[in-house]
Amino acid sequence: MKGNNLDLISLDEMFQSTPSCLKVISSAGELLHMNPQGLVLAEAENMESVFRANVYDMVVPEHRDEFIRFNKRVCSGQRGSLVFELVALKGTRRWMESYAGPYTLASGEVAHIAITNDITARVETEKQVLEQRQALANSARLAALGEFVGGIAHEINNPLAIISGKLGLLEMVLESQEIDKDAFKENIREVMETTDRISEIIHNLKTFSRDPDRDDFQEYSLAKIIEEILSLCAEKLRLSNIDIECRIDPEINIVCQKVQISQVMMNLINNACDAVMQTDVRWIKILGRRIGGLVELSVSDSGHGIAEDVEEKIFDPFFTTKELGKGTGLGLSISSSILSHHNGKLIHRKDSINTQFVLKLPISA
Amino acid sequence: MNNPNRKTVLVVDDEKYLTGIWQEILKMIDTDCVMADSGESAIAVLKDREVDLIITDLRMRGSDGFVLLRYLKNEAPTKIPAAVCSGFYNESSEELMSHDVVRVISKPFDVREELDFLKAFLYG
Repeated sequence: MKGNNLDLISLDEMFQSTPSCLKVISSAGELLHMNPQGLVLAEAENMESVFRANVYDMVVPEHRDEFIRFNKRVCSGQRGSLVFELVALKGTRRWMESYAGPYTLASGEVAHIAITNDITARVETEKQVLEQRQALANSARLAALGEFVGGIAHEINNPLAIISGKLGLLEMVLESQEIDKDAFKENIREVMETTDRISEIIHNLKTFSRDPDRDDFQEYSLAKIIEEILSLCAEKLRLSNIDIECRIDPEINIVCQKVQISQVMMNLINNACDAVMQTDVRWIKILGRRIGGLVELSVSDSGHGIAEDVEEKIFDPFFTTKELGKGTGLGLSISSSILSHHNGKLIHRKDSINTQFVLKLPISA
Repeated sequence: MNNPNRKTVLVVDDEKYLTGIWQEILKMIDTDCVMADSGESAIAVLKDREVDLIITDLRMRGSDGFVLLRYLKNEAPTKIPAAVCSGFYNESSEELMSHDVVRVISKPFDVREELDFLKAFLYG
């Protein structure tokens, strides 16, 4: 190449041809200049029609304040980047990513110069991935619950048999000559007590199957959360002759998404159940205590433990040692990401004699 | 009333209100009721006294109904008829078929129907 490269390239042509939006905005948010690609994204006819137009008005209200602060920062000499959504002049919504820095105008005023790209496609893809991940987490949660459904059905069927049996007896008593009022009342009381058993199970099921989008971070008693999960697992554990020991410090409160933490616990109990079914001595221990500023919740079982070659893969998505159709292979990987989302950790404690998983969570003040 | 033909039924269930219901039904037909809350405890009762019929749940805490059914099939000195009362008949039907049960009662059950069955089976 010979000579000055400005012989080959005109700066104005560069400005005209840049495939990104290139623009200059004043510290008050007025559009001072913009290249053709910028005009296309803004859906403006020409530069004259938008000269000194207020850029802030194009930014969606949710992002407007942040954009204004960004503009002020840039006009005071800083560089930075910002992702925001805008509504173009003809109504198209676009996600934009802007790289900006200060630019001193001929008047001496410092303005904002930026290259901005349309990243709508990328944002949409990310949203889809996130939605898919959530859908997967949902189905994994329901799959975990499914493991306990047999026990739950049994737990509901027995009280139903009691209610229908007692009512059948009462009907016959009404047809007989003598009615022992006290015995009659006692039977009614027992029926009511038995319906309470069913409604408690339904209540706990509802918590667990609740739409996770409405599962806000709230303060809960750790002992209460564990008690509700155990009531759903209890029947399966009893029928499988698994002893459960649960000791949770009743003083501990955690700020968490309850459904999510319940999902983690149900996964761990479910795994523990499967592990101890292969042993003669069957127990699961759940311990919850406070260690410094953390809550440590451990689930141990009497199973044979986890082989070393398996151990390194247990947190991988879709990894399972269970037979086909039994495990999704998502339990531990989803549990682990739930804990990260709670600023906590899920670890497998290798130095424990028995299989032990530990949840570490920040304690609420 | 001292009925020389009075029969005895062993009811095995770990739900005390359910055994209570069977007790009431049996009382209506002047029949003695003995109760147990697991397969093992039912076997202990059988070693102690004679019964004319057993009504047993299948899934119970501790030892389940199959422990009792296997005892009846393989070890019991005399053949005692057994009826099964369970919410999970289908789930275990294959294993159940290998045992000689006189009736399968699925929970929840109709008290009147069972009263008729017991009357016919024990005294019919």
